[in-house]
Amino acid sequence: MIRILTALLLFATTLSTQAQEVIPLDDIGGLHSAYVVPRDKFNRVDVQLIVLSGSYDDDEISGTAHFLEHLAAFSADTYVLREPRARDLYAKTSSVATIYTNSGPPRDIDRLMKLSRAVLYEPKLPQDFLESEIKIVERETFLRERQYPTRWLRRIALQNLYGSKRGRANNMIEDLPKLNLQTALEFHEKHYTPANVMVVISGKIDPKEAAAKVKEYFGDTEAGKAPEKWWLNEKPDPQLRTLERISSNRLQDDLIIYSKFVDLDWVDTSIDLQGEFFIGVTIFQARIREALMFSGFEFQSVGTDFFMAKNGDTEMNTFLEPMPGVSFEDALAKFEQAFTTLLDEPITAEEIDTARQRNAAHGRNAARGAQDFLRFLENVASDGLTPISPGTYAKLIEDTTDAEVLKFMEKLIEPSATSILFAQKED
Amino acid sequence: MTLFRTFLVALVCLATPSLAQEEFLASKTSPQYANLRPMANGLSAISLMWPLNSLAENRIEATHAGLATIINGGTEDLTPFEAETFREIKGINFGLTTLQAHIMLTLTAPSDSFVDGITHMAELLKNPEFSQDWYARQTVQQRPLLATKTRRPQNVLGVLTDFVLFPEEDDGTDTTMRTFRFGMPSHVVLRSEANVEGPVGTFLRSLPIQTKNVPLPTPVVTDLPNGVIFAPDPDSRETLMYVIKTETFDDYDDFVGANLLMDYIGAYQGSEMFRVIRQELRAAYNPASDFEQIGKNRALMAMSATVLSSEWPTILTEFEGIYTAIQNGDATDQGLNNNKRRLLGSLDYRLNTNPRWGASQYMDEYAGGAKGQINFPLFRAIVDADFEKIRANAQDHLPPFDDYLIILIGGTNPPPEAMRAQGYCEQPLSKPLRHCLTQLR
Repeated sequence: MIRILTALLLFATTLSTQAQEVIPLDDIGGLHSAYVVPRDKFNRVDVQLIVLSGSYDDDEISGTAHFLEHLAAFSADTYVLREPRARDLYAKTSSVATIYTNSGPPRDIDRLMKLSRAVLYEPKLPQDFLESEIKIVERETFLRERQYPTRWLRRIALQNLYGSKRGRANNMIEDLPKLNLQTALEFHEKHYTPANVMVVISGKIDPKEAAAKVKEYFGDTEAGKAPEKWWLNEKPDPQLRTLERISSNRLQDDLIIYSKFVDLDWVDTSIDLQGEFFIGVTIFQARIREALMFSGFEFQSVGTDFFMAKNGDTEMNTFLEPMPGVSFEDALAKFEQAFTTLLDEPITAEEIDTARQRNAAHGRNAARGAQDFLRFLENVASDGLTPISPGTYAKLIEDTTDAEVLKFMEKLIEPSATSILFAQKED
Repeated sequence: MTLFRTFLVALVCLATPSLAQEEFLASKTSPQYANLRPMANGLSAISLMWPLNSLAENRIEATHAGLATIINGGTEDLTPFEAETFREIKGINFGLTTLQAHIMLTLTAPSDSFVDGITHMAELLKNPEFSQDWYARQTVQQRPLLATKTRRPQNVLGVLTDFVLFPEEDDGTDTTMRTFRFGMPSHVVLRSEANVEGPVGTFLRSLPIQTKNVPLPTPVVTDLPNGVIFAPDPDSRETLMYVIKTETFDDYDDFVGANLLMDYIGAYQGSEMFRVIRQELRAAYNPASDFEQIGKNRALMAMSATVLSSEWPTILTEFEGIYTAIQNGDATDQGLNNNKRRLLGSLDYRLNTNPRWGASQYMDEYAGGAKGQINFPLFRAIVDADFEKIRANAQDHLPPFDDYLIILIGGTNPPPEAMRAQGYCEQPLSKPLRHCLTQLR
């Protein structure tokens, strides 16, 4: 999974990038893979246990992977706090992975490893607690839908794009009443198998010690087969163009969601596309921003995120907030004009170099903070690929050729399956 | 002759509506200057504060939009887009903060491009390119958030903080066609390892000072009203409960005591609210407390949760039960110690990585200027926190629960008559919370 976070780019700062080495570990039992990323910057160690299945892998009931994440996290820790808890649980379910992060000072490494290992055991909690956790997931789901309307707006746009309510799209709200413990435990058995789990230890730890700890805590896990990612084979009709209008009193402003599927069919794995992807989307962001935010004033804001699956399939979601008084039709026409003519003016070597520098700044910025660093590591790792540290990222960007970037850009703007949503605010 | 004069006046009157009015913010004298210790993340920073010309919310939003327009503009050598690209590549970042009586611009940059950042900021401020189009966009973006729609506790807290600090909503000034200029700041806070006082001095000397006698407004200390606000929404089955109070403390010991007790009530997963409301009652995903500093020894204290609408009366009783127990001193050393460690750690992290937080603390402590070493007594008070004393004085640290304002957003389960005795307002979803806050005041 690869995402570009515009906000991070805007906050880009520079710090001398050190090549944080990503060292693969060997003696790891049946795990998919394990790595250590030594780093002295903070007096802490982070253990990320990455289950390589997430919400896209909910094949029957949307929300199952997320529900299980709650159960596994509490099972690995104490479920009710008998004593005031000294640490919080950090777990999250993304599209393609479920990530459990245990952090602490280096002396706590054994406790962090035990907590990580415990995630692989079937959740063991009192039955009423396990079942009532569904209520908490319901509360969380409704809460997030309310607080972040782009979640459900995106869902509608993607359901229209893929013509499906499973896999890359979901049916979260309608499926909530169907959530159940049995399906969650079956998901655990199928997806929390060691062959589908990566462990990344980063921070202030000697690589030899990290290797020894992985061997100690995961060496007994048995090899097996990782589940198939069936949704990778689901692709929309390239000719598709849908447009839906909705209105809601949950919105503060009108919003257009523009979702597009791009089939990068010349590669088998996204690992071969990393450099051109990052540089290409940076150029896209810059050109769109220049056209819509600097050369025109029809928009309050324009933001795009990209998702690249492990097979190279790329999804683009642009969120456009027109200025008051600008119609949806005019705003869409303005955006599509900018998008389709994006490459009319040839991309120069200088522009590509500027995009490289922007990405380098982004990498340096991520190296500065503990949480940003972890997010950086888990980005590509969520697809089961070797994690990219800010240091290795800088080299990746440097090694990408201009021709590779241009090829990616041309494919990005080619006509392909598109889903558009006009979301009108109601008072 | 008379005719000619009349004609001139008429021309001026006709022309006025289409001319942008300029607002100039600047100090009449050199700024109060402070050096805080360098940050620990390789960044340098400089914060400039200008006294606000008005503390009415509409004027503050306009000033914020005006400064945002200038720093997003171009320079003599760079178009606005090129300027943004330049900042991204150099890692230069601008941040705007509204303080009690000032607007603050903070430049943050890696130490090796900090001087470039200062030069760039000087070019933007000295010869501002003020685009009315950009100002119009910034004005739209500065509109008050409709927390009734977003229902994020942090948004509610933000809106209430603005109400407490800036109770006047609109002073009648038309802010639509306006330009802004920012001259000599009244305060400067520097955070840098490198010796940059030369470039900073050159930059400051290049800024114009205020030559007129502009009367500056005096901050008004306001409390939140008491009572209940209910924003019904038949479209939602859930209700955001937000229970909040403004409090002024005697000293930092009192302040820290309240902070630690409120954290015990609802901060982190070790809190009583998490244990009771989430893990035992299974009623909410995110029960939490807030303790938000809004000035020296002043804070907003709050408890919140989003629950099924039918359940909010029960959970409100739980809020009160938890609050009262802690008010009665029912807090363990272990829990208080966890929170003390976390509070100290989080504030230390902020001080070392967030220049805006450090500058705000400076303004709270040393708005009149500092001589000698600068200390933030808040840290010492946390280190010295004595749990036995905090428990013994818990009734003083925490005001009575009945004094809190209760805000309920969403659902169709209205508060009963008995709850409305201290004031009640029904809040339309399409209006800012200020609507009811003003009515209850």
